[in-house]
Amino acid sequence: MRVPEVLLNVRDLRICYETSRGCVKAVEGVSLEVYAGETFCLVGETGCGKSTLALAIPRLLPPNARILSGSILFKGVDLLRVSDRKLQELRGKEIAMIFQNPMTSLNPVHRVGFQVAEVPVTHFKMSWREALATAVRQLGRVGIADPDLRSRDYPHTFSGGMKQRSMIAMMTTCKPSLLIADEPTTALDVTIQAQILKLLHELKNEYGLTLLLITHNFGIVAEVCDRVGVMYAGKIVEVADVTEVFEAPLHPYTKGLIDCVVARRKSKSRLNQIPGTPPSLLNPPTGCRFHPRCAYVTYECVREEPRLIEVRKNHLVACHNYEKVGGVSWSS
Amino acid sequence: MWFNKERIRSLESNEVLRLFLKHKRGVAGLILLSFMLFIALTADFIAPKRFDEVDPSSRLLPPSTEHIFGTDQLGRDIFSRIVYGARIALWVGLLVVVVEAGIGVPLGLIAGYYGGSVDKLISAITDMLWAFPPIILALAIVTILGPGLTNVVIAVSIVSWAPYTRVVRAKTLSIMGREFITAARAVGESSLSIMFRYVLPNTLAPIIVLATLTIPSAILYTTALSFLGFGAQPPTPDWGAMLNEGKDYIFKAPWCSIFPGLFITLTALSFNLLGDALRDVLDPKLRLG
Repeated sequence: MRVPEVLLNVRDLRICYETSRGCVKAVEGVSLEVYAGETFCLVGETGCGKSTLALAIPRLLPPNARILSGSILFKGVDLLRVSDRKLQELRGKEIAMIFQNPMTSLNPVHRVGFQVAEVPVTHFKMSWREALATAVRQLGRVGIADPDLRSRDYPHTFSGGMKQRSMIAMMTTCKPSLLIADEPTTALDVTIQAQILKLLHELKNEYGLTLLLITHNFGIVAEVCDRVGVMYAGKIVEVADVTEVFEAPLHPYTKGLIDCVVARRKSKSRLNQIPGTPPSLLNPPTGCRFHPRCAYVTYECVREEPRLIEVRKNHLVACHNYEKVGGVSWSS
Repeated sequence: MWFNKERIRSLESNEVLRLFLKHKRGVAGLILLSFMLFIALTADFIAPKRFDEVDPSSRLLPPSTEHIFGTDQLGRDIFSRIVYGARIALWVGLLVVVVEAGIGVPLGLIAGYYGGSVDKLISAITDMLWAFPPIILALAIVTILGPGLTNVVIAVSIVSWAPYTRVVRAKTLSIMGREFITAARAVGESSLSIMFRYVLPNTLAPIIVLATLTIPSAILYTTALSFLGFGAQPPTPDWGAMLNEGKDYIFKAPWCSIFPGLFITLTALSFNLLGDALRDVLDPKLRLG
């Protein structure tokens, strides 16, 4: 079997936000490998650090964020140590990013076509005439009707879905190798969500992109992902292939999340939920961070933090009692 | 073509224009300003005399059909001098605003964009400047540079760019929090490009309003300095200088000071009215984002 090439390698990344109430440890020792050509999903609840992790890759964190340690290797280059100028070249050309809220992601004072055209002008020194033609073509490719006409419109005349399409057009004109999509469909309604996901999937195959998809929606995970990383309270608790995650989750948190998916309910029983709320990242619990909410908690969980270990081929989990969790899942 | 003029007109200006035309005081200001502009531009045609034409036989004559605003102590026609003076007042007002914005806007952008210690430094300088009484500081600068209209423009610009920095900085801070700035960085735009292509166009509306509102104060400052003898030197028909010359004859020939004073007031008023109207018209658009 061909050994997949590692495109993005995050090693022991720790990020905190400095706030008036102390240091919020948003990402605590995350290690992650994303292979070239795959769709990797980062899943987790709101505030678990997945967006922080995503923003850290192209170094777009807000000014109060501090990267405490770690490295992010992209094609062998450490993005955390590369010069600003070099990074600026990589952004948009090699690494692109789509954001959660398309309504505010476009500059309200410039025409949409102009904004898309700016990217190849910046990176390929393309002439404006040529870049505008490229922009129109790209807007057409992402499914904007009448791209020639609409490229001359301002963003406020676009709907949410169209804005997100325009963002995707903007981010893919230079055919980057890595596209980070931070909850690209959260702000859109369900029918548009499906279309945007389909579009991302198509573009991924067409351009040979690697897609890092951040989401809290397991429906999306099931639909488009190859591999899944589950985050909880700033840590990765489980990494596995998508089928494996759904069929045999080994971390109680992953299992809990999957049980929450409405479509998986067997009868008209109450919707499953994970009791409690995610811990404060200012002062996380001792041992395993999930232990206060975990059904499988043992004394060991409170005392010692589990490490992320490969328990099966391509299946990593950070849990002391994964055998029990896996066992229950199979029997039911 | 890319910048389709018809589209621009139909999309934006119409809405602003429609709102503006409903604004009575704004329209009054615009008419008044147009009048000032008109006399300034056509001074060569409408002035009955040259502004420096001395006539010793007709000194300090009251307003009459021949000299509608009267004559001054050297027998010069005050109406002609005021008409030519409009050129100076408007030109100086415009120049000061351009220089002020030229200093203030980039500083505000830099402060808001980079934040941190850069912001602290720029804000400290701005606040310090703000704390000075502007006329006193301007006087000090003109004293150093020497009298003359150019030096007055420099002095007034130096003392009053602070509002631009404040306004632009505040607006920049609010824009920096918007996602399209992160998006711009994500596609590899440089800081300079983000500042001038993304942030600046979004701060234009408040800058325009501020500019129209600072022109009258610029005109008032420069005429004040001229009145004090630091600005335009005789025989330049500067309104401030005319006031200064007229003050010696205030009881004997009040028209020497009344008319320049009136025109200073009217010009300042026209800009104020216009500025207020622009603020009212442009603000709701800002709120919509």
